[in-house]
Amino acid sequence: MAISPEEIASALRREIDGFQRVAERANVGTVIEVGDGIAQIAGLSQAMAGELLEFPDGVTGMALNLEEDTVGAVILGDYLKIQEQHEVRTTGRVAQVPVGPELLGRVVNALGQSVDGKGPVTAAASDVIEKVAPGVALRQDVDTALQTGIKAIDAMMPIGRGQRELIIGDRQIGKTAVVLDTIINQRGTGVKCIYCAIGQKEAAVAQVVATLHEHGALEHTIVVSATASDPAALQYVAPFTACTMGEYFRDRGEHALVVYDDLTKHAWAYRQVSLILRRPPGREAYPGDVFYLHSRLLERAARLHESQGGGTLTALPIIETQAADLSTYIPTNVISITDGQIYVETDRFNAGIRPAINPGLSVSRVGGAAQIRAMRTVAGRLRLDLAQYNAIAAFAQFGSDLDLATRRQLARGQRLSEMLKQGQFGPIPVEEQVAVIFAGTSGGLDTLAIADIARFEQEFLPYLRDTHPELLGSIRTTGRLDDAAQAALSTAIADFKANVFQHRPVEAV
Amino acid sequence: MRRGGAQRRRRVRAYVAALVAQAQRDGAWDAWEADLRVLRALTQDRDTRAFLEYPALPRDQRLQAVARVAGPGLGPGGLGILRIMIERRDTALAAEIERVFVRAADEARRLDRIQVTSATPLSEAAVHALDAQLATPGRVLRLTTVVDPRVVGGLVIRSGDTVWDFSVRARLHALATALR
Repeated sequence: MAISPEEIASALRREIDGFQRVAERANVGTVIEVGDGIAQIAGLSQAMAGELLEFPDGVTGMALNLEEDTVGAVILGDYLKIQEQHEVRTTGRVAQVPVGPELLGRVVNALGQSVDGKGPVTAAASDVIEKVAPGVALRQDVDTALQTGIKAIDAMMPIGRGQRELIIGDRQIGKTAVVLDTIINQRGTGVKCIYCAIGQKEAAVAQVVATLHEHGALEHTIVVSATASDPAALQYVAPFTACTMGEYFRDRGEHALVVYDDLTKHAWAYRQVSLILRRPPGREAYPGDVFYLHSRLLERAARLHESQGGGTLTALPIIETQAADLSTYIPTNVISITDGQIYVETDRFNAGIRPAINPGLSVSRVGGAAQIRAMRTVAGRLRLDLAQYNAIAAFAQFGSDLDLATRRQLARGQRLSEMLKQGQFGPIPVEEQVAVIFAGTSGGLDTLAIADIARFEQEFLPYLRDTHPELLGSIRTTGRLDDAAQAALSTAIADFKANVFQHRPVEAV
Repeated sequence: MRRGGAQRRRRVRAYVAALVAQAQRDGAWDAWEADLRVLRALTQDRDTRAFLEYPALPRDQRLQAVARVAGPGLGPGGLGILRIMIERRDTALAAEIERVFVRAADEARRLDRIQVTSATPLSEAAVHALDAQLATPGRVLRLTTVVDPRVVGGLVIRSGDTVWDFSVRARLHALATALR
């Protein structure tokens, strides 16, 4: 917008006319110590907790520690510009970030500023980063599925819109791959995604952005990046920023998914900030309020009541464990906060089972309420069959004298495990998942060699799309798989195996 | 030595309580304040603090060096405080002790310090008028004036950690924000 010199002159005149009448009152302090992204400020007696502070050179900070004589603040920006004796002012505002659909497709830092080289973010709205989660009266039960496109998850530990589902496991075994598949699977569903990278390498974030772009998922995604090279203060703020961006959609009756990758590094950043602020260290040197840090963040994920627009914000926090130890401080905290966890296991990953999800330790506390009825019908026995298989598989390798029932369980379990394997960045629509899982749980795979199962899925799904589009269409639209549909599906599987699928039949146990 | 917040505050309070008690006895508030100001300036530098707390040199030799550098600016009371600080390795607390002492001393003397900043020097009449306007009954007002051309025009009045900004600079800043 161009402003004419006349407008500037008249605005100046108005301002100068009002000069004698209005005074700006501010609460000020003086920097007495600065370093590591933290400043100790004398004065500022009226500063509020979480209030935004104004340092010289346009640098901002956030008041965290309110003490008798001093205020401890994190500096959100270049702290090297701040020196002792600099004047600091309160602003009367809490930290805000831009929100809205203008951010979709963009990569921003923890303050909502563009870091993708596509120019500044031009969002019309902004909102505070620290907010109280919606209360009981504003919420509603989670009963709609958020399809991840991953068979093992959608069948056995379904995630509902508005749920908090933790993804936990050691490093480099596919935790981020699970959430990327989920984000990719939201194409065309109207679910807006926010991926928040905390303390990661710049290269890893660049790779995530490239992957999302390559699979056409960046258009409905905001990437909030606070990498390992950013100050700890920005890493601490980043998930709250991402959550606020997601809440914008939730509060307008839309659906959003926010991924925090990962909260272990977030806790590290918060520990660093707290120790430099000289807060008393507790267990593993984390401050006493590290539980509240994550609980208040994850409580903001919610399904709002219909009277509030019925919007949802689903949260997928990630926790990285060390040597598969789930009993350390931060993992136990986040496990207790969330509505279930997906446990990704190194042994399974190394054994070629990918995604390396352990169905025994993984759980979704929302359960079948977040599944379409068709999936509930076919996947009901899946978890039980797999749990029984895992229990007896360990014994089975020591002897061959097994009774028929045990051998059947083993054969079924091996085939179901094989069926749940899935390639990366290849999410499957839910109606096709139903068809494949039906083939497994109804015994349709029992006469196939294990080596043929992956190929069976690859060839059966296109066959089904071509020959029985109405069957897939009816599962998609009605969400049901009635007796007639089950019979039709069984016939289709039998026909495919008999007439189309080239394989050497194996005798069923 | 870097200490935790609570421990640091406790030590600062102990020094200030002793100093306030002494100042109440001898009434030399301003002299103590001046001594603390010199101590703060002396100990601001990390290397100087390291020298002051260097155990290989006899303590009296270190104090004599300080007395020589500070000259008449540092009274015997100030040297005594410095001796205790060196013994307890508390020289890093000097700035905080000064700040807390000044506040406690002001409260004890019912003294208000107000600083007025203007772009050009204020006339004597203007200073008197401000003095009359800003004084609170029952309290002593200590008005200091500062000239800073960056305020462009008008006045900036600071009392404690509250600032009333009547300057043209603040108006221009507000205008710039409004036009952005």
